Amino acid sequence: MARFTFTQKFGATPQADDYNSIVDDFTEYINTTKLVADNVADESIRFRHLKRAPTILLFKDCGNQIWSAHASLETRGRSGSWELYRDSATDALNSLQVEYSADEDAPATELVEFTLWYFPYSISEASEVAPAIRVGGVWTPLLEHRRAAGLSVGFYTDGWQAPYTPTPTSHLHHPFLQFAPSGYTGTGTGEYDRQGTVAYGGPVVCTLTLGKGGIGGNALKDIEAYGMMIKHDLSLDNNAPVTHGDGRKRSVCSKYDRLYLSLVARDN
Amino acid sequence: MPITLNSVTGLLDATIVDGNFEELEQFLKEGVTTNDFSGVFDKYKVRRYTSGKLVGFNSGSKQYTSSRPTAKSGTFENNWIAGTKSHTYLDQSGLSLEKLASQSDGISAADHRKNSMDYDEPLEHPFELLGYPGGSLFYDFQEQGFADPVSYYSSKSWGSVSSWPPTKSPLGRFPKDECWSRWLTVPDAAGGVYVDEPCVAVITAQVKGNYFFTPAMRVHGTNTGAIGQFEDYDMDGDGTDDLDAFRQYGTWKFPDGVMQEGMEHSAMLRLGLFVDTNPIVWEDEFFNGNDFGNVSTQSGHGFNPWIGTNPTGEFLVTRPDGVAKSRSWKKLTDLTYRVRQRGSYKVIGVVELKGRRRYNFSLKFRPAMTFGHVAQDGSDFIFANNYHEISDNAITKDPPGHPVSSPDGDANPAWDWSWFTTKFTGVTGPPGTQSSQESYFYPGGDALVTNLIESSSLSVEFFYGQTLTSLQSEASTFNPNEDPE
Repeated sequence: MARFTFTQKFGATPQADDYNSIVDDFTEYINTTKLVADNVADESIRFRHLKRAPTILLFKDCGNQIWSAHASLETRGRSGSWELYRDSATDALNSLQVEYSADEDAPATELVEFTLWYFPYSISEASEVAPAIRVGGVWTPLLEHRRAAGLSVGFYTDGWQAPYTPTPTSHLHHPFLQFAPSGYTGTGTGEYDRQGTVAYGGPVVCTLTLGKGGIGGNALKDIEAYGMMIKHDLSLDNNAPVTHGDGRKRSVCSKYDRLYLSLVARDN
Repeated sequence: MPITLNSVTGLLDATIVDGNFEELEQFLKEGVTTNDFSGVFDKYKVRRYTSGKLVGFNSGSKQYTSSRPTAKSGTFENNWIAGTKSHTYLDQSGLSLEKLASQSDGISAADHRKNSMDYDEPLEHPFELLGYPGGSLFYDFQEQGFADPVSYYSSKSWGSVSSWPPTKSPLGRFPKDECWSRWLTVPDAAGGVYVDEPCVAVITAQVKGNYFFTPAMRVHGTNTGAIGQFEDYDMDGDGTDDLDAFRQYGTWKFPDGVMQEGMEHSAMLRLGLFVDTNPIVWEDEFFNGNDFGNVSTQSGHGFNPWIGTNPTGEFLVTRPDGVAKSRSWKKLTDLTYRVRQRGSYKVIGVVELKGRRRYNFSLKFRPAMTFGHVAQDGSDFIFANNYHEISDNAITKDPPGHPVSSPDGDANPAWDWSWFTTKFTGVTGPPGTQSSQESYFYPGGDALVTNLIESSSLSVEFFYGQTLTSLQSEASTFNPNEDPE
């Protein structure tokens, strides 16, 4: 369906037929054409002659992966060193990443923009986040792009968690199902249980722009995947007994976190 | 939406008529007229084209100032119909309070006045037109595609649910062919654009503003103590420092030098990114599923049972004729922020579009938490017409494995805090016991004080020739052409 346009306009001597033609154009477009299902194939006319589009987008909402993540997500970044923010016990099985390998011969190899949007739930203001790249199976944080979470962090854990238990292995019941028989696991997807309830800080937004030369001695074509690494400042942990007033307990990653990864490769 | 145009006879002024129709032509293409580009430049829309194709769309505004009545009625611009505003049911009814009360289900005029600041009072909840078809979505579970609690619990053989439908509910109060919801468009963070071809759109939006601009949790009463915890301060001018009292909780006092990060010192801002084709419902665009447009697993048939020509909300295995197959809108992102006194809040979302039509993109906000839930009632259940998170019956009352040791046992701190006049010894508070609404929320009930929003912006980038599958995305890839029946 094309954009709306008139089939004819008035000439020097307007006539009723001309006007009625215009009226018919409206009627046709609004009452008929636009109500017919648009069956345009799932492809771009603009790029159909190309082997691949000159602009490539990889986008990942990691919410559901985080939601069902391995319980060890809570320990990420608490070793005192930079650690991969991953949903698996091993780096190799991590799904909190976007995989993109620039092809030297393909058009979209000249510029890569990688952006991570991290919405922390329970990390302290001094926890640091950095974009990371995987080269030869090894993850490296790009420390020149690291960010501190800053003051705008989410609700903290334990007694102050709003409003659910932070136990990573427990299931959050939907308010509609909270008194369902034991054993019923509710919807099981984060999109139901968390919305409107868990409050996030941030986001911590890191954008990385790479040319063919890559970064840190790694050429763009050698980079296999892009993800996020994190390091907490354990000195800010509060190990006092849980009371109403003690606020923060520990800076931890949690299944309540949200992470969006976006990678755009452009052929300039 | 069908229109009717009339034919004429005789001669016409060609210049005027051609000009009028060019204006109409432009409007149908882009939804703008020349008047949109005149006057004070306090908001903008920028479209970026490459090789004749739209590749980017930006809108934004500078400082936003709304009129005084917006504290109650809202000023929530919906750019596809100029001037569309949110309405409370009181506005929508066009009736006097007394008349409405006499027709209403159980609310007297006196009670209404008494409850006009009540956060749970549905007559005062602002609504905005979300899209088509109807009906309207008042409760969170309706938006999420759950069947009504009675038939849902029955289908699971869990037991009976009483108090459904509840009194004081606005169900059925908005026009049945329109879908109104509690999502309200952030002023000027919206815009429509004609999208040429099938593509994936990445939307980012931002709103900057003051602490109080949200229907917020925890911004009243004792919370204010957090602003000056390091020193005492005479807040009421009586020559005596007051802050010590605000820092006191039972026999316990917030320590100096420790940043207070409990939820009682926080407000919540719930933001959503939406795309719609209003006022047209395209059969092949947005599936009438749960709130994200995915297949609803809680209705029995996969569709949202509250939307259609004659939706019943019942749990049924197959889709009844009255339940719509598609609708005009889709929510992309739903995220609640913990907000500070002033901040800038950003969200991102992605959607696959069919193209060849006009889309509206918008950043919306609504009260945080979950309105409407099921609570236990003896051996059966009861529908609770209030916020789950601060309900006495909520699961939050006793966080499993994390009992709060003192001074109030294992009660939900969020809930307990509301009765601070009995919990805070030595604190001079308002006489009597506060209601949860008074304690938890900014005075003004569900009023949304948007005139403290300082700026907003929305950006969309269009990627042609791509699909969500190619994005490694976890977003919906449901094909609306395939009926899950």
